[in-house]
Amino acid sequence: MAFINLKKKEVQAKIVYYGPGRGGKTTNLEFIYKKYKSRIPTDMVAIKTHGDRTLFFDFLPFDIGTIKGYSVRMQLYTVPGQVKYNATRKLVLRGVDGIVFVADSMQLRREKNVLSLKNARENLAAYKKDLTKIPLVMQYNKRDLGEQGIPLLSVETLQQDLNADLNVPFFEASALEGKNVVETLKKIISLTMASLSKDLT
Amino acid sequence: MDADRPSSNKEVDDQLEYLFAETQSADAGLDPESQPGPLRDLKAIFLAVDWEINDDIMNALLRQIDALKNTFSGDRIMMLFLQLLEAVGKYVKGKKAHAHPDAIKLLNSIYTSLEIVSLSKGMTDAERKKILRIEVNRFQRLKDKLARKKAVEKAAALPKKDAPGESPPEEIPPALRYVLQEVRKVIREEFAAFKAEFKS
Repeated sequence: MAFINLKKKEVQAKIVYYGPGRGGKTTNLEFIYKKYKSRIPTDMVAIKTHGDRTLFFDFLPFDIGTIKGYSVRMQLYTVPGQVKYNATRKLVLRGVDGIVFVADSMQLRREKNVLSLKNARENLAAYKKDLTKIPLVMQYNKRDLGEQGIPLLSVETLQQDLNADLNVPFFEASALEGKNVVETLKKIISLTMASLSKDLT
Repeated sequence: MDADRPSSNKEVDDQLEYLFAETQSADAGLDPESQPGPLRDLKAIFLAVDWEINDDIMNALLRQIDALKNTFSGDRIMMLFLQLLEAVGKYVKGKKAHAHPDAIKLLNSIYTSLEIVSLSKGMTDAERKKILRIEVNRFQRLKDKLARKKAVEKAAALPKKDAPGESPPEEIPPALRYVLQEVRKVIREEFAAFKAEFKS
């Protein structure tokens, strides 16, 4: 749930990067952290397992600037993608205001994408939230791997698998190269601000 | 889009465009698209390393480093960067998924620095050396970590002198087992000293 201080004209909202393990959620945040370091008041908090995977979550507070007269800060989170950490994923989704679903474009990750999206629906339902109502952006990540001959899912297939009923904005991206990372972020901030706008009047 | 879902607001979008563009222009000089051929190939291999570490990918990395050594043979700082990459690359190749997680980070970090040094026009030798020194220090820290880890594992693998009934259960990790052994040893020594003092 966003924190809105009408008196101080401040807004704090929570955006969660969700998706299957090794899909590039943390890489998105790392790119944002490197690119906009000056607007990030603290270090990126990343808690890792031994194998450099996200165990708990990554957390990045990000000062956006003034929108509609309000000083806006977004709290960006990632969740651990591996199946065994569902309790943490559920916890991180508490109070979420917007979601970026980072799908892995590799062919062999097709089922994992679908399962992860299903898992997001279930975990949101536990907080009486509906994936079809919450601000959501799809990011089809690792598109760059196609150039190295790694078989990728077509955007049509990804759309059919993940976005057919949701019909939300989507981006083809390469988090490692930073392609469409900022565009994804801008879109989810925009949608989140639009959903909060009724509280900002 | 779902009718219930909020849609973007043009005013907010314009504002975001302005807010993000302001910072983006500051580091436009490091556009990865502007990379010359040799580094482009190396970057492609790094993308593959991010996905999977196997012999083919690591061999390709080491081959590319070799090729770059010819390209940059007249540039001592670039050669030192490449030597660092080679050393960490060989370690990762040997250990693969069991490599220390910092080694993969270091590999990426050395590559990023190499890219900056190679692509930033007008950078002085002093600035290039400063960046190199940061990576050398990171490399040294990793070496120290690996040496410490090896020492702990070696100590834990030493034959136990305890009676069979005293040995800790198998599921205790080697490092913790070593600490337990040390604690027991100290208690035993303290107790022996106390007994000797009590007798005298």
